[in-house]
Amino acid sequence: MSGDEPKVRRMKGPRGHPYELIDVPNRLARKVGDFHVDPASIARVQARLDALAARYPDMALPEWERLAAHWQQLRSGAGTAEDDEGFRRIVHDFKGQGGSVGYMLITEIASSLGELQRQADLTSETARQAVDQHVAAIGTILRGRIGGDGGAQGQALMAGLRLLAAKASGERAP
Amino acid sequence: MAKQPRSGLATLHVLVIDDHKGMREIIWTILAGLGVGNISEAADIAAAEAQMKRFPPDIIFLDWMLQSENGLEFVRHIRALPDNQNPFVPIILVTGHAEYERVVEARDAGVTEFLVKPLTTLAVAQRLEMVIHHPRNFVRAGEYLGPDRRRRTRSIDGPDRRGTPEMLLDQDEIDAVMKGGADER
Repeated sequence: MSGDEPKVRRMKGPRGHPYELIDVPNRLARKVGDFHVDPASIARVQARLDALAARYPDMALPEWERLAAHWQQLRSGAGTAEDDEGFRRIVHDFKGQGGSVGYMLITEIASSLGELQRQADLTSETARQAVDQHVAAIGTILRGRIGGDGGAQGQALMAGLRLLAAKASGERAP
Repeated sequence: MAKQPRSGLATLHVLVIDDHKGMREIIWTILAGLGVGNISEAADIAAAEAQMKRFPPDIIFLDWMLQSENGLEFVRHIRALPDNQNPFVPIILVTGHAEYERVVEARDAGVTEFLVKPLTTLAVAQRLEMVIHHPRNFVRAGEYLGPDRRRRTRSIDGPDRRGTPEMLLDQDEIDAVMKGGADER
């Protein structure tokens, strides 16, 4: 025995359900030693993320072009299941990535767009126009390199998009 | 340029599994900045399995929605591995889905910690700290093998309801996950 093996205790729950409680030796703590989150390392990482953020619009624009292409296909009625899946996936990716590199407005718009997809009847013209505006807004932000929440203009844009989304969702087909 | 202080994390090997190159780059940037010494990447499960055979990871960051694969299936696969292949490896699930049902589903697949997108450095660092300094016991109950769905630091005095269906929900923990990292930056 090295002392590194998990210790298994056979237990019973109050209703007699058997289960095993496995005590796994904490090899990671021994390996790493004293590690705690500290402000200096957080600041150091933030500097690296800022450098990544500077490249983000260039990295994301080709993806936005794919998003717009999928949407055009879907909007015209010629879209395939791949267009639908591709569109959903890219929206989801934008939602996760934007805010991770300081483009919170991208995350907000993608989040609203995702909600629109779930709530609205995308065959209605109102919903289609709302999607048009969301997709166009993401492109505008990337081309304009508008970081953070976009300031007052960004928030006004976001409020307008939310209104459009709410209106489209209210017209959901029965 | 000031030299970055050497962190205990320099000895760690972290495997990042995400089909999106941009997201892998973000996670890599955060981990490297925190001082993690060895970071491998995989875009799909087949590549991840090959990496794990070559260089077993200490911690895995796993995206839920891989291209045509479900990250949770991979979690179940890892937890079912024979003991000598480390079914106990900490798995931090990276997800944009913080809905209640999704969180419960992931936890019941054997995920160790959750990381809700968009990511923050602090949230990533805190998850590392959790799996390193506050690991949970594992439980095998019926089909389930995974971290104890109660934190180790909690008293186990009183009724022990592990393994019973109602114990699958731990409201404090789910609330914490659903709160996400949005206010942590």
